[in-house]
Amino acid sequence: MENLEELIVEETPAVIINDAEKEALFAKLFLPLLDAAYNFAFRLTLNESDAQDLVQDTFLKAYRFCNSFQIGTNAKAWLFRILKNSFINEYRRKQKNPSTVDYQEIEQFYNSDEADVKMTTDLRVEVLQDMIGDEVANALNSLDIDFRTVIILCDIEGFTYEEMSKILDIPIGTVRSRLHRARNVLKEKLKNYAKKYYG
Amino acid sequence: MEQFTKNNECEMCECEECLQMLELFLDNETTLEQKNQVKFHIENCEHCKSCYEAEHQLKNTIKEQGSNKKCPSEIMKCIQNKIKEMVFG
Repeated sequence: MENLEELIVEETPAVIINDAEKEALFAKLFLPLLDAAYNFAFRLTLNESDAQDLVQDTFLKAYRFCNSFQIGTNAKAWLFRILKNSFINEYRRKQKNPSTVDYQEIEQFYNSDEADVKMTTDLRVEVLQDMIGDEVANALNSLDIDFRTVIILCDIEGFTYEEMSKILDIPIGTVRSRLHRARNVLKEKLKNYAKKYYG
Repeated sequence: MEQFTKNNECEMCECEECLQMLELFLDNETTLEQKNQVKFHIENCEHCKSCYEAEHQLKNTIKEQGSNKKCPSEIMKCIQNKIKEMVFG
């Protein structure tokens, strides 16, 4: 498991700023991102209390390592990367029911041409319009954590593939293929849901 | 010549190409040329247009249903207090 402190310090040269400057930088760049960070934390943990702990932990780390943030680069991506790493390091292993699904098998199936054609062509706008409650959010929450994360970062937070690649420490090609697979799984869940409840 | 051949590709091929690019198009990750290609195709193909609309609707619904969590106000105070402790403590 990567060490966040080492990762941040290694990558960017430290700039010496005093406490007042640090506080001003933090208040200006990071505090306004609290709601977005909390939403991301909640979507990852699916639990209010864990999300609160995770977001506090993230902001305190961000404050401690403010010196390593390169002004002019994307503050939100920098903060979300800390949040994601904190989640992986400290919260994921705590989860009571780790996924027992064969992730590799799912990835292979949903990456096949057969699955692609089937699912890109028969999801209809009417199916989605019928879903007036939280069906889409519930389906999203039920996805494997890696699949859920890419959808949150792209569709909810509007990050580019390049930004996502930096937040998740994976190549852009992997961002793209993971996102594609994640959406296919999500669509399949929505279709099954629609069949079950709307006929 | 290459361009000529491309313009005369069968409808199925054009649809396939369009659907393959749809995701990148919606995520704003296409090149300008690809963007125009997709735009032109969905304006002229009912099938691909309906696929585009479904994907677009899904993306919007995810955003609507998935971005409604606001951080409780006491968390902001908590963070600020802990930072003060770090600075002065």
